[in-house]
Amino acid sequence: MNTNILEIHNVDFAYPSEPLPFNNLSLDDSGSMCLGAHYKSEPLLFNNLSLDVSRGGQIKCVLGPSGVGKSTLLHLAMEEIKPKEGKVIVTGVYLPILQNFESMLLRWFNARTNITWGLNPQEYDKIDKVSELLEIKETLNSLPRHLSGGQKQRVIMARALVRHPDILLLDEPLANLDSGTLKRILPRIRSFLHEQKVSALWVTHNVAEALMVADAVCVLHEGGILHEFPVMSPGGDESLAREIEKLLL
Amino acid sequence: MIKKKDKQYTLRLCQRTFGVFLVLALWECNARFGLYHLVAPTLPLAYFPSLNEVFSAGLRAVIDQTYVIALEQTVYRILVAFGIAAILGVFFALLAARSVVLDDLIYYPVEFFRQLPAVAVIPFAIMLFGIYTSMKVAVAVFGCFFPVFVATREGLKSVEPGLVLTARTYKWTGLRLLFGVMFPSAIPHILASFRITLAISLILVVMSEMLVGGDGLGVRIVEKERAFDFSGLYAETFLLGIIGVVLNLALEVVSRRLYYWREDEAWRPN
Repeated sequence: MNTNILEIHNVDFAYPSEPLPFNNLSLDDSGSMCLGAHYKSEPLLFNNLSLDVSRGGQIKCVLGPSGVGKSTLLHLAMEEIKPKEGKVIVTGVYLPILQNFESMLLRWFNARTNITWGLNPQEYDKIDKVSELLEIKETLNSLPRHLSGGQKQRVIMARALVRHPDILLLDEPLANLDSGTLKRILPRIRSFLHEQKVSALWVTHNVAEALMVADAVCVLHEGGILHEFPVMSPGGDESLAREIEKLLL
Repeated sequence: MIKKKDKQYTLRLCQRTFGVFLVLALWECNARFGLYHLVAPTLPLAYFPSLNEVFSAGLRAVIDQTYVIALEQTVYRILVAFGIAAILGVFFALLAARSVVLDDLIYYPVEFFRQLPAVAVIPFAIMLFGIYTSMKVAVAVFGCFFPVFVATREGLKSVEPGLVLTARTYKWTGLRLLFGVMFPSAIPHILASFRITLAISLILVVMSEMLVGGDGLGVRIVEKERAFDFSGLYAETFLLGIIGVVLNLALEVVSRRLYYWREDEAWRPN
C-alpha cells in the first residue's frame, strides 16, 4: 500500500491565459487590419514541483510569500484544477478548509448543525471532544452571523475533524485567531491529528503557527521551488525559525 | 439622549411623511382652484373631487357590507393565486435543479410562455375556467408563476462556489443537498420574487375583475366610473393601494421569519 496519502509529481502549472482587452486588432503581413485574439502568455506558476504527504497523520505546512501559489497547490490537491504536466494523486478521503471560510458555512444552521449536517448520528459523541479541543463549546447553539471570524474558522475545523478524513487540505485555517488562543489550541490539534492518524497539508503565512503544528515545513518560492525542513519538536528551535524567515524575505 | 442614528431615522420619516402631505396638498389645490386647467382645460371640475369628498366616499365604502364582501373576494383571489404560483414556481425550479435533462425540458417552454402578457391568456382562461373565481385566479397564477420560477432557478444556481465545494467534498447529496444547501441559499431570491409576485397577483386579479365582471373590487371600480361617482372611484382605487401596502407589509413580516439568518444591517430601514 502506498505510504503517501498525497503525491504531487513533477507538476507544471500555469493559469489559463486571458485574451487581452482592446488588443484583438492587428496588422497582417500585407499590412491590412485583421481580427485575432491576442493572448498574454502566463508564466508557469509551478515548474517541476514535487511534494508528498505521508499517510497516518503527517502534518506538512507550506509557507511562502503572497502570490507564490500556496492556495493553488491546495486546489491542485483537491483536483479543482489540472496540472499542465505531471501528476497529482490523492489516495483517500480529503476535506478542505478554504481561505474564504465564510462561504463554507451553512449560515441558516447553528454551529452544532453545521458540524453535524450529514454526519452519521453514531458519531455525534465526537462533537463534545472536538468542540472542547477547539474551545467552541459555548458557541455551538449560535448562528454563524453571531460568531467571530476565529470562531467560524474553528466551527469549520470541528466539522472536518469529527469526520476523520484521510487528509485535511487547509488554507490558512486559523488565520483569524488571536495568538493566545492559537498557542493553546495548536498543540491540541497536532496531538488530535496524530492520535486519529489524519494527515494534513496546511498552508499558512505564520512561521510560528507552522512550527507549532507541523511535522515538516515547506517553503515555496516563485516557480514552485520547495525547501523542506523537518520539525523535530513542536515549536521548533529558534535557528530553524530564523532560517525559514530568511528564506521568506 | 437621542442617538444619531435614531435622529437620522426620524428625519427620514418626516421627509417621507412630508412627501405624502405635499401630494395631498396639491390634490386639494387642484380640486379647489382647478390647477388641471393648465394642462387639460376641457376636463370638467367634477373629475377632480376634493380630499374631503374622496375621504367621505372611502369611509362610506369601508362600512358598507357590499364593499367588505367584494374586498374579501378580491383578497382571497390574490392570496390563492399568489400561493399556487409560489408553490408551483418553487417546485418546478427545484425539479429543474435536480438534473440537467429536467432543466432543459422545463427551461424553453418557460422562456416562451413568460414572454406572453398575462392579459393575453384571459380569453383562453375564460374558455377553460368560465368567468368566475377560478378563471381570475388562473390568470393571476399564470402571471405570477414565471417570476417565482426564474428567481428560484437563479437562486439555486447562484450557490456560493465555496459551499458547492463543501457539499461535494462532504458528500452531501439528494435531499440533504437540496434542503440543506441549495434551497436555503435561494431563499433571498425567492423572497424578492414573492414581493414582485404579490403585486402582480393584485394587478391581474383586479384587471380580470374589471375586464370580465362578476364580483370583486375591480368590478366596483368600473361600476363607480360608469355611474360618474368620481369620489367613489378615487376612494376605492386608493383603498386598493392600501390593500397592496398591507399585503406587502405582511409578506415582509413573513420574510423576516423565513430569512432569519440575514445580516441585520441589510434589513435596517434606510
